[in-house]
Amino acid sequence: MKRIKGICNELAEKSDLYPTYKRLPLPKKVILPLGSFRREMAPLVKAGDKVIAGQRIGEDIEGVIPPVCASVSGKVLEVRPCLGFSGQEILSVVIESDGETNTKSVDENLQRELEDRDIIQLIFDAGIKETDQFYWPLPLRIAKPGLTSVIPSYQPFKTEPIDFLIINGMDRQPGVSVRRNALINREKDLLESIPVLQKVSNAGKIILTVYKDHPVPLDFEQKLKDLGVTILRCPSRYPIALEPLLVKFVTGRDIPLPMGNSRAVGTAVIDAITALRIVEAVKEGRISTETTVQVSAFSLGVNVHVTVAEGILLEELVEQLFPSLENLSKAVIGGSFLGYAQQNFKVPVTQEADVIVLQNADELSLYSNQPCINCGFCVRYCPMMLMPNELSKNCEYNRFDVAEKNDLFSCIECGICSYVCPARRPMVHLFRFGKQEILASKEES
Amino acid sequence: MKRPEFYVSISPHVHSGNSVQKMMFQTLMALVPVVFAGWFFFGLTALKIIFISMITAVVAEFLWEKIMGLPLRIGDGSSLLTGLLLGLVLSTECPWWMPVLGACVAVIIGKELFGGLGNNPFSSVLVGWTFLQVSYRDLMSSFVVPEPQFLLESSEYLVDPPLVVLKEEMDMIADVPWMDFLLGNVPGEIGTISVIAVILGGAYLLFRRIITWHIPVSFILSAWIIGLIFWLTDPEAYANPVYHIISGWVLLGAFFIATERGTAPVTVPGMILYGIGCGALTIIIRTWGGYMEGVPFAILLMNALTPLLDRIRPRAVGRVKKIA
Repeated sequence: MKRIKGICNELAEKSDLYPTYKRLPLPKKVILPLGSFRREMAPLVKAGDKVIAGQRIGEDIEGVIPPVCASVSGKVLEVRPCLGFSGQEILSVVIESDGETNTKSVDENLQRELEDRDIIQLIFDAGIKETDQFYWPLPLRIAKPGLTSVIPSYQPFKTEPIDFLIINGMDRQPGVSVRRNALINREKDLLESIPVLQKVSNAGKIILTVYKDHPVPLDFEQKLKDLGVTILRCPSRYPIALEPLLVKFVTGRDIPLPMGNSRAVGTAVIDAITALRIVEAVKEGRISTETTVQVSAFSLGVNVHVTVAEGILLEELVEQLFPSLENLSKAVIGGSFLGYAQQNFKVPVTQEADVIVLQNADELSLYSNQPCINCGFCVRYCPMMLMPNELSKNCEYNRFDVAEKNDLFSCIECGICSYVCPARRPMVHLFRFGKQEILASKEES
Repeated sequence: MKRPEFYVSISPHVHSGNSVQKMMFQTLMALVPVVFAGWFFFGLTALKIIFISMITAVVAEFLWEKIMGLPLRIGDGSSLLTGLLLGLVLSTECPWWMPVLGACVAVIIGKELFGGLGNNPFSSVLVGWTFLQVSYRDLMSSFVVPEPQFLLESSEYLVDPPLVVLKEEMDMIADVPWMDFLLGNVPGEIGTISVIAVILGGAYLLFRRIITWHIPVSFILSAWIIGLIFWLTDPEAYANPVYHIISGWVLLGAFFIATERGTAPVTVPGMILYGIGCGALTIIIRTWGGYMEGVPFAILLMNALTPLLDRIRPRAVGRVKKIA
């Protein structure tokens, strides 16, 4: 285990409101983005078509990323580029719900003994989306050597065995408890996922990581041990749940960045929510159409886990939860450290979003355009061992070549440098700007 | 400023609440025991010099920014700190115009000409001090015997500051009780003599995480080790290394001056090398040089090396030579 720098979760948590649970009725309209801005898919439906929940509506032509399935039954209104919550326009399918709750029928063949190929195919077909951004999509990451050939045209690391399969039960950032709650409330499902994962990945060791101060029930721990799972208690420090640092902490190996392919060091990381979705897909043949997001509005004293149909518009979600909301100053999808502030409330809340933070004017943190004072706080806290002070100045004054040479692309944009900066410089903004400029100039040449 | 109603910004959307003002204010707080020790041993004259120096520093920065049409940044308190530190490294014998001159040079030449806080290559306090030291050497090197306000008795046995004694009358130093060194009951600059007060302040800075331990510890350790080497070669000619550390300047320099923002390296290996360099140069200057303080010039020389030391960067996570 390696020491990872960072900030204490408790310091950054603004409130310890105990979460409540809620389930929202079916939304009137959902928007389902096809793929991500990095890789778009081809739609399988057109405007006017009738779809039922669970029906496949878009797939990748090359078959690399899992398909997208409808989350509600109803009529396709249109297929057009829509704003996603990360700020990019992605080709999306807009579905108007007809209020019916029928879903795609469960595959009859599921009762028989499944082979590894079938399992990986089921996982692929389920269209599971993940909160973290990984180099490979889920099925490719966890498939054991030889099994990746199920996915056509892409057979990387056929010979790379998985030494460690890390199930990440730690939430990505302070103030979030989505994964922790999933661990506590659905321990049975999680236990069921272990044999499936073991079968598919043939991992040398399966490790479940939890925060030290979030204890797991003792009998649960014993059951996990019986299944051969090691429970690793990690320090409650902020960016440790992000993939490169998690792998470094657990295995001591460095994922080569900027590529970020964990398979190159024989490691696969999935989060607890994904493990549960895998169980749903494999055991029940169910395609997950719902997502649970934590909505935190600490100024209103609200911290609620809502289960909604995927693709619900932020507008509708906020309206249902807070019928009379005033003084909203900022709406962030994706958490206070890693999330994106929204300017348009007509964005879909998809499975990639784990938390929505609503801030009022008092909670805002404002940036300033002061020059760097070279105090070195960011260097002290940067978990990736970069020198954010120099990188930010290089990006600010257009010296992108120097920034790239000094590992700008290793930055995981965790935001700790900005968090501790006494001059309140917008560090992450400068890094993203620098990365974009470098990528743009590479594309030109 | 009226706040707009709706905000969109880049992540992160929370902040630790740390600010330049807070950092400067906490450093000022840390210097309170040192100022108290100055008043205790030298009376109101010490406070007068510190006060003049602080006021001048703030006024100088204000005027400079007004004249040059720069945004006003005196609110961040960095000039106040420069003024206070400059007052602490002067002798109570200085006439009133010396802190004025020193503070102006420190703030304008030492800091503002380079672009303000964080951009100055050399410690602004020491720029002001060096200017005074080189220009008015006689005034700068006359000291009074401290007269404690209560409890303690004046130390009549030392007329010269221990730093001069170290150089010229080696055997005399052994007669001084340790307690007087630790409390600061010896002649010298207002803020450099009291070991206990400076350590209290330094501990506060460390506790508040304004500074890390790397620079002070490596500074003091390296001064002690280099001093020890000299002492072991010839105990008659060279002083005990402990005297070098407790006789003034080293502790104030290690905790407060060498760690000034922007003039010190920010990486761990850089900070340790910087501290080692400061400590070694201090003893070398004291042993072979003409300036008995040693510390200011050692820090200034190491300041000049800071950009080089900052090139020793840590290996970034994920930077592997061979991509498997």
